[in-house]
Amino acid sequence: MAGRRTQGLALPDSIIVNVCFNSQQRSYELDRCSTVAELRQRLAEDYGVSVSEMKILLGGSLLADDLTIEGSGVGMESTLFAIQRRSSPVSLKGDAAIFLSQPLIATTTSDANGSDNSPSQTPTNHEDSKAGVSPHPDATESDCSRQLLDQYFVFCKVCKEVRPGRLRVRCSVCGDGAVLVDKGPGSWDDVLTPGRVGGTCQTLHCEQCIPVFYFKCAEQHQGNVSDTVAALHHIRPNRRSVFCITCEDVMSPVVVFPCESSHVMCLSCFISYCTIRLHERRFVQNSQYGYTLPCPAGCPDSLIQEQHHFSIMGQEEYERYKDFAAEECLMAGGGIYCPRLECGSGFIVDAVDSRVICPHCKYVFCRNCREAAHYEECAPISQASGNSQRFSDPDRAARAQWEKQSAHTIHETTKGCPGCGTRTERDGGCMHMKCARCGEDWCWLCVKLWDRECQGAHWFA
Amino acid sequence: MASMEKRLQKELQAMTKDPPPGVQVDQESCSRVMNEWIVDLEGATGTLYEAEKFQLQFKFGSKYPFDSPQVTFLGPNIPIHPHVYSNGHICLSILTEDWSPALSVQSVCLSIVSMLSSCTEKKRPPDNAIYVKTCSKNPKKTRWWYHDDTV
Repeated sequence: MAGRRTQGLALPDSIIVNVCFNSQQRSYELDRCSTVAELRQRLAEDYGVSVSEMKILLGGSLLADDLTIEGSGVGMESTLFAIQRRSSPVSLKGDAAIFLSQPLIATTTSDANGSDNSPSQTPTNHEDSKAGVSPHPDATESDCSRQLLDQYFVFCKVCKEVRPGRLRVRCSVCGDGAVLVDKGPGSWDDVLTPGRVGGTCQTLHCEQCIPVFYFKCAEQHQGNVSDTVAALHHIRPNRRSVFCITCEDVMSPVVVFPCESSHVMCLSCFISYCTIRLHERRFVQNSQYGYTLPCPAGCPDSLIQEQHHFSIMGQEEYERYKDFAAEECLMAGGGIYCPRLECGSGFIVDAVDSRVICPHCKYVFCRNCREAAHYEECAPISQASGNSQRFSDPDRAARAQWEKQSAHTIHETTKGCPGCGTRTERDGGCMHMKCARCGEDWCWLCVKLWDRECQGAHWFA
Repeated sequence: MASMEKRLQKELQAMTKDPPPGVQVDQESCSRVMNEWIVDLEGATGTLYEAEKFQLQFKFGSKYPFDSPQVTFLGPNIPIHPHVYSNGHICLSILTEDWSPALSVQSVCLSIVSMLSSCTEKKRPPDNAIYVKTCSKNPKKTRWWYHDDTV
């Protein structure tokens, strides 16, 4: 076989892959159009193993001989596992079209290639780099098959956006990727619940194994970056060219809501939908799926089931989302927050007593007015936190004034919901308020529950 | 937000090309400003409002379609209906808390036509007099009712 040296630059029709055999890794430069059979031949020669016993694993499955390297889903810098086996109990078809008809995976070889990896940046370290000469791949066909292979999507923290993901598998005991699964996962449950799909670890001396599926970003990231990313299982390639329910464009990938009609929304509308709902604090708290959103068409059983989908909003909004989610979860369980500025811990209160002790900082406060505990009626806010700073140093006193001013502003510009007391600001609209916290309907003018009289007398006044 | 204009253009195209029966967008109004439309409605045959002509005004905020449009009856003929105040305000849940970005100008128009069609007696809302009276005192302050105006 003629070695094809690249003199510093890898040719665009070749890719570099890492092959692991008996826990040792080597890099190979492969022609995209060469076959798995040719690679087996090379590996068998390099490792002194008979060709019939040399098998190649990717994502838990043996790669079929007739697949091309590109068609098998191997991408730049993918890691393949070479194993020595006397017989192969698993027969596989390398049919990429299988992804077309099935919403989920039938084999685990889906491996979208990050084709925009710059080959010139990749070190060409290959003593044993050999490849047969093949025709240049047809560009259109290659793009098409690549699109078909973009089956999974992940939110990559490094790329900071939704990316195609690659399904991978590793051994639950030794963590090695040389695992042969008994069958390809047939549903998201198979992927997300360890133990539903059995398998065997091919690493020496590792016998007990539960294959664990995980996802990684299709992009190669330099440095010590955690490989595992959250799979966004509501996001799918829009192979059926369905219109977005909001902007009516055909985009891909899209969010497919889990309602009966499987309504589709493009990612850009999904971001707007989530962000606007979050700012209005109109997510819903669900005991099974947490703080989440339903299909915008109002379908039953349509909640987004996995919170990482909301990370698409971007880091700042996602942090806000997590804060709100934690708060809602605490509130739903009857919890409260410590009002002390330095503390702010959330905790559940059992007693009905209005005096509450923060378990974290031991501050004792009144549950109703959130001021220091007292025996009298709660004081109006302008008089609370009076002049106890008399003997403090000037800095402390200044800060207390600042906080007092802030409390004063809140008091001036907001009113408490008559249902739950949540301070509420009115920035326009009519007098009918709907509490974002407890859902109470109330009147801004009367500060009491909304009724027909308010509607008649000063609805829009 | 650009998505608002894009979506409105698509809606306008669809409504112009294939308008639902009895509904017609006033093209001139949309050509002036994209976020304010006038829509002509005609009462459906076989109903109390048969052959009557009405005008609806749509105002779209920058958050449309994630936030509902403001929809009011306009002009000389405000339908006499238990859910329509004489100043044109409409009491219809899809315009407030039941709004969804999956709804559209077309679906709002059809809901309003259907609301009119199902009416059995022409009368104003029970609190119309006092409501319109307080409104007329301060017309500039009158704004449409958003259910989610707690921020």
